Amino acid sequence: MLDRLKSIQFVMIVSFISSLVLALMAMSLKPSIDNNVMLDKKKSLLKSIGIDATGLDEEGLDVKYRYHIQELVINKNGNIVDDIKLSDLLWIEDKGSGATNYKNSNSGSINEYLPIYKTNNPNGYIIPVSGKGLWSTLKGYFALSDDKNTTMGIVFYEHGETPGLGAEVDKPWFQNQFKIDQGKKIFDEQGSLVSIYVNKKKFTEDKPHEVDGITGATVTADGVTKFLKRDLMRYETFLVGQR
Amino acid sequence: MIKNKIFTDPLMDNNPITRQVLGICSALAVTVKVELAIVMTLALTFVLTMSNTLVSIFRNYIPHNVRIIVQLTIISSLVVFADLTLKAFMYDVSKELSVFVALIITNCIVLGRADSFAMNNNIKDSFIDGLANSLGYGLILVLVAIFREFLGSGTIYGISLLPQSIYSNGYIDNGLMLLAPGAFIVLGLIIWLQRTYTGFVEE
Repeated sequence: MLDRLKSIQFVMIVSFISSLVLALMAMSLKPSIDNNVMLDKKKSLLKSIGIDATGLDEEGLDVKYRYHIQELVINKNGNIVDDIKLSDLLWIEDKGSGATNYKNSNSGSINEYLPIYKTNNPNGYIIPVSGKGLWSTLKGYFALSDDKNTTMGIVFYEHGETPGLGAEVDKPWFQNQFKIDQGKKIFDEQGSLVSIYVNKKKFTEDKPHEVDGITGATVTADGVTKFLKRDLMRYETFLVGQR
Repeated sequence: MIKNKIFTDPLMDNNPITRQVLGICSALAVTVKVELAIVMTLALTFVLTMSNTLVSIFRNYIPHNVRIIVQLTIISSLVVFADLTLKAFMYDVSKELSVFVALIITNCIVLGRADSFAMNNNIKDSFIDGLANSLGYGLILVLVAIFREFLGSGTIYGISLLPQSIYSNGYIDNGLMLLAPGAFIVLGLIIWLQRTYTGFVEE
């Protein structure tokens, strides 16, 4: 009995010390990790429109980012709001669906204002997308050319899918299917928003609203299909309104 | 003499990967590029050396019935430590290594050395044993990565080694080398070579 108590005591002391050390470490490294995450998001935004920013230092990246990308906020009617900045919006992740909800830090209800990035050379728009795959929430950027219909690119800057299976969404072969030369479109001929379907079963070349899925990653592919459509729907007024 | 064996054994005759066939998962996963293999080796070296040392320091105090729990707590703390450090100072590399740094926790080499060696040996020997096993692991990792990166991408440590003229004459990089089966093949050949050389046969 005394032995057991001693064991428990020992484990508790070890756990306490290690959690103390890790908590201190996590706190002190948080600012530089956050900064890295922010830089990585900028790189991902540039990558989604086909601009390579790997290996750039902070300043070089900033210059490139400001040349190519303008941060905007739109309201429910799809109009650009001038007096609210993108940095005013709080990005709140819905743990159940993985969707990101946006809230103006000063006023307004959830998703009344949405963030969007207008791009310059190539001209177009970038829409942030997120949702559940198999294990994790995938977060990424979906770029549309300035006809607001043809896809220009997709990137995922955060995910925890299985390497070799679901994580293939992070690979060039998958993402290249969204490049502008592939001519994929999110609106059908009747003008309704059909989004892009990640098709796991059939050969999809020449189909304007489908891309090839990933063998062995049905749940990830279905997840991407689902949240692309859901997130694009939020921007429907904007995408339809000014075409 | 014996001291030397603690260091040299894991590098060759008792190499954790080629002889004990431990830590294969990460060895297959992070050997696409030499850079990744080196960073992974550094992370494992830190974790394994420190865990061996710490376990050895407390070996006389750790109650026998909860020793695995204590060892795992120490190991996982060190892994989180390494993971956070990479995220703060080498973010791009840590993104490419994705889950594999966190998975060092489940790397059998670490727990194996802690329980079988560090629990029974003094601090200095445990430190040397941890270092040597990491280097033995890293040696194979880098070796596999050199073959895979050269055959799969035509580069080593990101430096292009093949002249453009070869590509324009129809040479194509071997894509298989970038996939897991490529790692299996290279690793298998290395194990075969080593066992032919040492004459070791599995019973």
